[in-house]
Amino acid sequence: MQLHKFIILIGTGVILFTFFIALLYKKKQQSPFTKYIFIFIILGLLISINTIGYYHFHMTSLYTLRFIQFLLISLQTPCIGMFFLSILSNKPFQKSMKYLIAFFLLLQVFMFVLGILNYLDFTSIYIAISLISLIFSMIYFKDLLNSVPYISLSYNPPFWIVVGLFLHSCISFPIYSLHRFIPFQTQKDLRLAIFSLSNISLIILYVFIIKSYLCFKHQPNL
Amino acid sequence: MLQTPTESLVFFIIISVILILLLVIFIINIIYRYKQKQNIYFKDIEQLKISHENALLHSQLEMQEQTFQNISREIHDNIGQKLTLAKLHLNTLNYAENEETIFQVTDSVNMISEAINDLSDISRSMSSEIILSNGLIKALEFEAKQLEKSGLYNISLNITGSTIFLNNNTELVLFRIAQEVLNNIIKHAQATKINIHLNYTTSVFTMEITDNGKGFNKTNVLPGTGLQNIKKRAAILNGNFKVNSFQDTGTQIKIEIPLKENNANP
Repeated sequence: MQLHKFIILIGTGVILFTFFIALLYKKKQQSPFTKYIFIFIILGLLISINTIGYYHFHMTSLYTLRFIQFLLISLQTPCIGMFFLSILSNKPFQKSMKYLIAFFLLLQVFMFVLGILNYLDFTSIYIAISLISLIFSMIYFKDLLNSVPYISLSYNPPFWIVVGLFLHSCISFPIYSLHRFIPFQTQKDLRLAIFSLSNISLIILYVFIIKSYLCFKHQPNL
Repeated sequence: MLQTPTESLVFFIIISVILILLLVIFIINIIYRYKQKQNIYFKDIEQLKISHENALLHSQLEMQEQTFQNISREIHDNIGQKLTLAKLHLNTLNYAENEETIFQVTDSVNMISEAINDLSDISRSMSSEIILSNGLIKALEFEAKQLEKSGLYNISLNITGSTIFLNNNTELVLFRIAQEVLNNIIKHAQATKINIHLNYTTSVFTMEITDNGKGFNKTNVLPGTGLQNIKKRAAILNGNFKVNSFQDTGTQIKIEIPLKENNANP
């Protein structure tokens, strides 16, 4: 089996495991942000199943794969936005976040339409989503350093989710921005390696989500 | 530049590793900065807690001092005056030369005299006036004399170093500590010898009170005893409080206070 296909398979396994963990903690934890993360995980699982269906079972065409993929990813963006909005503690940051979410949603709709018109090339939407996560993560870190530091980061679930999102977006952003400059014919291995790295960062994101769910078990009384 | 796919792949791997390392450093930096902020925050909270407790203790002590003053004044002005008047009446009583009556009246006069003296001593002991006007050493000398009067104790007061007047509140708190310690010795120690040692250095004042009593096991001391009060009072002066005691070997109480914070009169 080729490495990139193997990574997709492993990724699906990790996302499935994350889904079960999230399901396990769904009733126990009623924190506002968990519902957005739960939807995010379900969408991630559907994206993975769609990818596996294409690569391993050839169930769909490339265009169908892309279209479903982009639709699901577009739905993940509001989840990420709402997640960040629910974990920020400073009012000015929350206000800025609201405006940013509105702006990015409009941008995403615009890019979605552009992608359809451009023969289903949705690369720009991937770039935008990575950029959104990156900016939101930076706002969160700024908010964290400006808030009253009474929480223990080791047991703070939102912190680990943001770290995962930050790593994923930092790795994905340059990959999606630069991959079109790598010629497909001569540098095929490099392209596959690059996308594998992006998928590995996605696996890391879900591992961090698992870690954040496990934090609920150990939250100390401060 | 990078011609072959292998070269590009190696270059890509190097760039990826550097990027990931940078990200990890960034995250560690965030955690480090947060932890630093958290440490400062918890220190501030602790400081706030300590100053709140100190303020609480100060007001408790002020209330206690006020109560002492009221009782002292009441003894001196009211009870003492009435007893003196009763003594005067008895002395000027014109009674028949009955031997039994003479004996009873003389006995009553003696008892009233003793009561007046005792009340006067209690009044002086409670009053902060002796501290304010004569200082800690004189007040401790007076306290030692009072105890020696009972004939149960042999008390020595030693002073080393260059004596200085500490601020009034500090001397008052130290005097109350000494009274509390002496009170504990009277109540529990069954001692015969008590040594009070005051040591003045340029930076630290030390007060050591040692007895030759039965001592106690520190683990068996119940909360709410005088030791807790002593500890709280020492904390007000930012001082250290140490107790050394073993069964049947006596007890040593040592209070150490920094002079820098306690010797300036307000």
